This record gives sequence, structure tokens and C-alpha cells, in this order.
Amino acid sequence: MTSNPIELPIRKDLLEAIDRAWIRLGRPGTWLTGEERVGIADEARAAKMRDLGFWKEAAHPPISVADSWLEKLGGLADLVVGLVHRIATEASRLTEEDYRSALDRGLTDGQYVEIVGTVATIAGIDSFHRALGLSLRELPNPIAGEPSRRRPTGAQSGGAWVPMVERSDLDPEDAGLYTKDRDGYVIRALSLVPDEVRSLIDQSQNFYVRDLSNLAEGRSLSRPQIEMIASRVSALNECFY
Amino acid sequence: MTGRDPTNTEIPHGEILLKFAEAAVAGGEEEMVAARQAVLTALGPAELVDAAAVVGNFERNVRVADATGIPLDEFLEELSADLRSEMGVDAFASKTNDQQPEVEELEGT
Repeated sequence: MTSNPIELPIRKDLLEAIDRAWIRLGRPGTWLTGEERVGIADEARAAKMRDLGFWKEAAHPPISVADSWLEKLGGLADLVVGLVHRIATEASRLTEEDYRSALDRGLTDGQYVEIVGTVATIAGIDSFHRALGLSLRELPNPIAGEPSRRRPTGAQSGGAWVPMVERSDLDPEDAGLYTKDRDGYVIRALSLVPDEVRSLIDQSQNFYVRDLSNLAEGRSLSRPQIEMIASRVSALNECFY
Repeated sequence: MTGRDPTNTEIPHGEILLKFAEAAVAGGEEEMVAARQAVLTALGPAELVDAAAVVGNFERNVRVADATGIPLDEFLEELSADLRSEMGVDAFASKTNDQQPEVEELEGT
């Protein structure tokens, strides 16, 4: 990868959103420790870069965290690494059977959702850097601490593989979780872990558009240009969404 | 892909932006450098940043959608029915997620 080859006018709100995502990445989450979250991000990054041919298998750069996070996962380590790689490189091939199998092997639905959110976050931010020819941002140092382990009381199965929380079933502490224009399935998909929803909306508002009713506000591209890129990225990933 | 040539777009600089998206999602370094330079030359640096940000946003969203098995929102399904059929999106593997399952008991944590 090249390193900042040109002076780019990256919007302040975009840079701040990346900073927030990075800080959050290193902190203990809801079901995963900071060490696990950074380790997952590192695995996802390596899998994607190898898939694109930027990194060779034998030349995987040193990871930023020790492999102790995998040792702590014990019997779940292979399962988690396999899932991370698949979400990073071939998410469209995942099936409900894969998800159910992961639960049968001992992963919880909350852990699964947080893994999805973590891999998706690093995929989005890394692809932004790669597209601009910027060096990939160094992963944060994990912050010690225990996950909150708070499960929304209104989470229900139905509508997706993973349980979700409808707007009417949000706990009081999550009352403002969905914005007026952002409560579609792709937002609710992560609602078993409300902090993943907050991060997704924050990134969406700054990477994509702030207001879905005014798609070109504050952007240099027109709405058709924005939507054309979005559609192409989804199609190339073989994603129906 | 089916039907019309996807690079034949009436959107200003559409072909350049499509190639940029393609390079960003699946291209190598050489392809990415060329696509980036094309956007810079034709549109400008602010447009390049916004294009990369949209790519990043949807590289994230597709993983969330595909890994959680969500269906397509009704309003999106209605709005995009013709386009999805024309682009061959309905044939994607992840389209099989797009069905409403029965309500089940809560999964354990």
C-alpha cells in the first residue's frame, strides 16, 4: 500500500467518525473484550488483504495483539477465526445453517452479532483507506476490562437469523437507538448489541449521507452518483441488499 | 449481470465511478491506482473522498446484511424490484436470506 500519496480533503466529520470507531474497537464491548475485538479486526483485515492479493500468506505482517486472545477463546478459537474470515471475504455465502452451527458449537448469539459488527467496521474503514491509497490505520491497543454483557430485554427471533429489537421494544436506555430515518433491517440486524447499532449509524451518517431524505447534503457527489456506487459495491459483493 | 451494459450509464462520470467501485472492491493495486487517478482527474479530490466513503459504507453494510440473514426492507423491495431483476441481483446466494421466517423462541445468550 502507498502512504498518503496526495493531499486529500477528507471531511472533518468523516475523520472524527473513524476516530470514534477506532476508540470503540479497542474497548471492551458487550460480549467481547477489547483484546478479542482487536484480534478479530486483525484477522478480518489479514483475510481480506490476502484475498485481494495485497498480502501473501507467508508474509502476514505482525499482528498488533498477541495471540493470547485466541488462547482465551479455547475451543471456540477455530470457529471464531473461520467465521471472521468468511464474513470478511465471502459473507454472501454464509447461510442460516452456518449461524445455527456456530451456536450449537457454543458461540452465543450476542457474540456472533458483535463479531459481525466488528468485522463489518474494519471492512468499511479499511476499504475507504485502500480506495484512497492511504496506509491502513494501525489497530488500537486493546483496553482492559470486562464486557458489559447487557442483552436487550426486547430482543426477539423472527425476521432474520439473529434476534432483533423492534423500535417499540427498546429498553429505556436504548430509547434513542434508532433515528427517525434509520431503523431498517440493516440497522436492526445488530440490535442485539445496541452499541453496534450506534456505531453503524454513526459511520453511516458520515461515510454515506447524514439525512436519508436529502442524500446529497454536504456531499460532492450527486445522489445518483452516490447510489450508483452503492449499488455496484453491493452487486460486486453478491449482496441482494 | 444481465440485460444492458452496466458501464453504459447516463449519470455524469458514471463509468469512471463504476470502475472506481470495482477496483476498490476487488481490484489489485495497479487497477486501484488507475481508477483513483481517473476520479481525481475527471471529478476532483473531494469527489474522490466521497466516492471512497460510499464504498466503505457499503463494504460494511453488505457484511452486516449477509451475515445476519435479514430480509430486504419492504420499501426497498418495491422501489428496486425492476432494477434488481435487471441486474441479476435476485440470483445472488444471499437472496435466499430474503424470506420472513416464523417467530421462534429466543436464542440463548
